[in-house]
Amino acid sequence: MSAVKQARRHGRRSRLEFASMRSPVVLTLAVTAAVAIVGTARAGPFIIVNGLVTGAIWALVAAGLALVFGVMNIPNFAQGEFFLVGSLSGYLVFTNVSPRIGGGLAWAAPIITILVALLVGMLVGGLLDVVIFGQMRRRIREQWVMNTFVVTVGISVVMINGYQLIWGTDYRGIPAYFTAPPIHVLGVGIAIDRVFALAVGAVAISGLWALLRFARLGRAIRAVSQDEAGALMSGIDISRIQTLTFAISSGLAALAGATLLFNFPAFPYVGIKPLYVAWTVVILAGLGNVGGAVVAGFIIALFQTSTSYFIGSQWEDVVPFALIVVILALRPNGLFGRGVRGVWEQ
Amino acid sequence: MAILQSRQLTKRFGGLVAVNRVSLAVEEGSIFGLVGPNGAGKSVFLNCVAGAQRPDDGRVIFRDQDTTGSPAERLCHLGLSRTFQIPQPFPRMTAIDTVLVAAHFGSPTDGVPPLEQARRSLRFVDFPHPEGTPVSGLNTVELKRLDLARALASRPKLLLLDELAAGLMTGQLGALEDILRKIRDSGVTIIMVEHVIRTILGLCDRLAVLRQGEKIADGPTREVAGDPAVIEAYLGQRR
Repeated sequence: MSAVKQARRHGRRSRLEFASMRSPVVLTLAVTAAVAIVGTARAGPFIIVNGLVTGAIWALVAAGLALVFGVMNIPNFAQGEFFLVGSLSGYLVFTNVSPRIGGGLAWAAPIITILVALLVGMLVGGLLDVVIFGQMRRRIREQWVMNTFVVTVGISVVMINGYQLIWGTDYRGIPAYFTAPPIHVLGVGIAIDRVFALAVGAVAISGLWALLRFARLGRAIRAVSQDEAGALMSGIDISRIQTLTFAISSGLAALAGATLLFNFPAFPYVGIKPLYVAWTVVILAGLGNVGGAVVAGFIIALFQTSTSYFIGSQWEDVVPFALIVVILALRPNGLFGRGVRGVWEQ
Repeated sequence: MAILQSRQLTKRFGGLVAVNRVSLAVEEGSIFGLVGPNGAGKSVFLNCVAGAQRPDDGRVIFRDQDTTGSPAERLCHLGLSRTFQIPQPFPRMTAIDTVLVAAHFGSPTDGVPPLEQARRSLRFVDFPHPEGTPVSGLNTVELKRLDLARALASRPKLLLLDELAAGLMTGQLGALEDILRKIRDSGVTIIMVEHVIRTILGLCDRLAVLRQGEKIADGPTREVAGDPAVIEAYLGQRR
């Protein structure tokens, strides 16, 4: 293809997508707003408050998923197990640290806990990338997506069973990070732990955004996801950037796992739910679209809280799955999809 | 002094020998042309030198170091940069961001801040738009200039250009040729694979001609251009 055609295609494609994407986005946002308003009118503002808290955390897990797919073209079905890595590290750190620092410094224990979980998640993720995906990058060129998909499912099974072997099937959780009484916003009592979770989600997402937008590393990550040949030519060590990307993504999931420890105790299968919710979010947003994943995280969470209140909590997981089916049938590129180009297929 | 040497460089694809024991020496500060009919192995040779493909045999010596089989990003850090026949921009970045990536990650800085380096490179290639222009709206000539700017931002000592003139109209060539002369005069050596004869004759100090993977001529441009073997390779045998 001539360069002219290629350049024109980029331009035309983006305009076309813009024109055709408006209506579904508006529709979805309108439905979301309607659910939020009706839900609030009938059940009170806690629908929105809970939606925000859960949404912030789903956004974290999903943003990591989107990042890894956008940059490395890996559909990561082991993301839930990094959530588990976070829950476990969170549990081990908090139960050991919390009794030792008391009094005025008690507020520091949860912060230390989630930071350690973030680091452990990044380390495990980075190591896994070097040992497994790094090797695959050097050897496999064809059927990359399918191969890595199967490998991540395998990693997930190994990690779940490995966990079970060492730590057993007991729930390892904590009742709450903070003992202070709930605060009241708009007449809704919100546990401090939930406020904390919302804050952690907001800080982590802003941090990720700033990293991708302004940092040297973020530029390299965007460059690798947009054009590998160009990135190589600019002196970027692609494999290193991909290892770091995977580490960041795993770290985000682990951070989410540790932050939600009061709600999701560590046990072998704790990662299943975050994984499927995150996939719904990513499919709704469009694969590889990190910014869209954040918005979609809040949308899905709002639908979940409303479903759980109005229909029943056993239906909470049905909604994401039903949404996956509808989205894939009607709009397979996702709401904000912009035809993400694969890293290996350029 | 030669900035780049290839010694008996060979690359095979199955039974096909794409590059067959090619030995070259490129003088520092010159523009070196690599020409030959389609399928002669020019691009493969370039890829082997630039680390995009691994040669099967022979050595590549760049700045007195054996760089045979070194990955592209390491070569970039040593001062070897390249452009492709089809520009490879980052489609969802702005012009300045694209160039900034190379300024950040190219060969070690000489004290110039990356942003300043990136701006200088854009000015050097006379990039015609504001630096915040999105890459997705640029035309071919602008993309080629951007590719050049990005290559320059990594502070190369040697620049490999693969068919820079391809896809351009004659009227657009002059300005690009001027930029290439300016690049050479700033002390950067250039190896260019090219088909446009006028550009080659106007720019190159020396030429090497490949045909079916083998080097059939190598010397000062005027001599090589008049070589009967070269004329035959391009036009076929005189009957």
